[in-house]
Amino acid sequence: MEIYLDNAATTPILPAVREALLEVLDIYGNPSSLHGQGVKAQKVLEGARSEALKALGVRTGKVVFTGGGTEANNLAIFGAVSRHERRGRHLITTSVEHPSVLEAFRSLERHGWNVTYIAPAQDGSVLAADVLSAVTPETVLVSVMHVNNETGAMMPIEEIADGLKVFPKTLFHVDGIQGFGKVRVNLQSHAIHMYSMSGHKLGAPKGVGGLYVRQGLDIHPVLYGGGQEYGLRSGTENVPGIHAFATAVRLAAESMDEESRRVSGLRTLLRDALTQDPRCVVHNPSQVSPYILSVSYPGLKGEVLVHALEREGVYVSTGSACSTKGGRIAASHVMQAMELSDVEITGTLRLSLARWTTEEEVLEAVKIIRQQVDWLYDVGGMK
Amino acid sequence: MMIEHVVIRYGEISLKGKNRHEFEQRLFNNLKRSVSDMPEVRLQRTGGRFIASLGGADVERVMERFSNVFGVFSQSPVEVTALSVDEMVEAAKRVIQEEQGEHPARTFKIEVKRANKRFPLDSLQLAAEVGGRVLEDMPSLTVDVHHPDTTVFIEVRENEAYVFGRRVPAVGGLPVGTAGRVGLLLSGGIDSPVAGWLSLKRGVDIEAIHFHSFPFTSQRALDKVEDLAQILANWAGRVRLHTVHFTDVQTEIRKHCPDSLGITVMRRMMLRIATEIAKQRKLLALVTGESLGQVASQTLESIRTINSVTNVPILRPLIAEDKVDIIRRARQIGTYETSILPYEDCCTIFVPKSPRTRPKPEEAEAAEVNLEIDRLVTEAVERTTQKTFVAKEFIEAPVLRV
Repeated sequence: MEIYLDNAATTPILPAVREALLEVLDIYGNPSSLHGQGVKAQKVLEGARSEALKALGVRTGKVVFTGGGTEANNLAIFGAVSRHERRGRHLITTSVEHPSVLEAFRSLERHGWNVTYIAPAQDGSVLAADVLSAVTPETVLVSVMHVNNETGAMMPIEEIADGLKVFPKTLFHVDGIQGFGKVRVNLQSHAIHMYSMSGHKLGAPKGVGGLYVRQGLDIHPVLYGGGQEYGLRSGTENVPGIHAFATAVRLAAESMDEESRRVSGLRTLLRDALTQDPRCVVHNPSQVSPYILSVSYPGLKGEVLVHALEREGVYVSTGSACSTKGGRIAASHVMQAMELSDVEITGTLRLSLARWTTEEEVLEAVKIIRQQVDWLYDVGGMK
Repeated sequence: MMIEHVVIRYGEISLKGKNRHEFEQRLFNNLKRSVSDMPEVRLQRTGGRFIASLGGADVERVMERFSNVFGVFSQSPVEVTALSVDEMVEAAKRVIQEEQGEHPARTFKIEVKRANKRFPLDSLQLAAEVGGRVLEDMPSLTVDVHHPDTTVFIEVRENEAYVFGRRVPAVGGLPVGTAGRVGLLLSGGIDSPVAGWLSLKRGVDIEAIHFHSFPFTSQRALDKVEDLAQILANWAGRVRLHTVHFTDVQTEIRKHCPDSLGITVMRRMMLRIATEIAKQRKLLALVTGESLGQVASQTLESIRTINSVTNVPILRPLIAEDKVDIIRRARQIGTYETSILPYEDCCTIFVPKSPRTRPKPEEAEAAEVNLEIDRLVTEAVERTTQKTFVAKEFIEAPVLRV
């Protein structure tokens, strides 16, 4: 039996998505072509766009399809900053963002921008007050993630959006890659200007994502060319990928609230079962996504635990899947920002659930984790 | 002038008396293999060297391939001329000019070998004639028969003459397959592949022995070692990899031995298992990447304590090398980029907080009293899996003479 609990890294392609993908594979036209083949492709694209807007719960605004979440984040940040650079020289983000946000800001910093990095509380969540008190009339962009990919911490993005209303020149971007299709956000009534999405966290293939851009907001593109996607993302559109993305998004949106409650129950089950072992430390942010559980076994190496579990068919991850840097496994910047001890960081395991995760899988995983943890503490842990 | 032949020199093996024929045959085969994708290239042995006829193949490419075949010391591209002194003079001048790069040759000599006894001038006459006319045309040169900057060789054959000079150095060493078979303790690190390469250079065949400890080391760590074995096979022609599944041994060591001697005991166990594999596979020696003093397990005391579990000779080609030099060599032979991939190997996992740097053999023996050594060794050898790697790529790296 294989139990895949690494859905925050990526997900398998859903059967319905596979079917949808196969259906449109032969719609080969270029959506920009004038003839019938182009029109067919164009229709697929527009269908997908309205599906994505619907899932976001908005009636206005644009969805710009991109080659994934990282590109959506880059487009939001560089696009907004270069378009509105005359408004000031100050930017705000948090120190626990995904590298696709953090590294974009570091690049801007090297180009002379002042960036404030808001540190999280010890539980990994960021306080709205901390973000808002850093805002000045010079602040061009604030970027805060919806759900942290390592800890599952849900950031108070609606509260931040509301607080930013008194700074009408400050734009607000939310990296929604771990939240989209899983936890609700009200973009319309809270002034969230941009929201990044990714398909492969929801059962679509890798390589497709999108950026929601609020009605009336003007940003610059990052990629220049034929002017596709409102001129914000040139390049012939990935029609089948986008259709698959929209299908996965529709499926997620249909039952988001019920599934969110159900998965929340699974997370609690998982957490309570694991913490029966006193060696297990839970990282429990005050507001947390039902889909991510971060725990630590001080004294063990997360990496070794991952391999021990994989041998038994359970797939999980250490802090974050993309943590290998310059030939060394870098300690998680998120955990460091939370000021966790080194042994706790090293022993961290991330379990991430999906809409299709079952209670049976969770219970089986708990059993296997317990066995492997016992074995490792016995032979490989600290003496 | 079209180059159609290359002279290949193998110096050292001509010293080897009665084994000479075997050495030459090995080298011949290894050279053939290095250009097996260029069937137009033909090789022939002639008087203590090989001559390759290119048959239209690109000369630079062929020379790069040959320059990486162990046993080849140097090569020269050959100009072929008609049996005419005029043509030989022109060719000799081109050979000298070729060598007048940054350090212009000031002295030269002409050396003639006359296989065609019907040629009207004898060797000395021809050398004097060509030398004299080169001097006339290139007045800045002088002749020096003892220590010339450049030697131009003229070989008078039945229907043509070979003229060559420029000696392009090659990798050197002895042909792989002429020195017996050894076991290389191959980790995923930087050192052991280099040690393996150096032993290949001295003519041995290698069988690599790797210790894999899943889940303490990952599948990627094993993939990396297999990639390294493949790179060595590209040099060697063929490398067999023995993967020893070592997890049980490591966990038993954790259970029964003091932490501070864990590494010493682990390495003694590795050596015991390798010794057993060496017996079964008839390996004449073991090769390691140890370099004196590099890490705690590589002090003299430690090497002695670890070594004392085996009678098989252990070769340590890197024993006196500095790390920077090992890294430079790893880059040259193409293993470095693979070696630095960040996956754990058995040597870096389980490192105790304060390892003993100078363990005594008696201490190690005392530490092992509760370990069922024979059983663990036997089981580990039984669990060992084999995989053979054959050369997939032709080595075309720049010349590696150090």
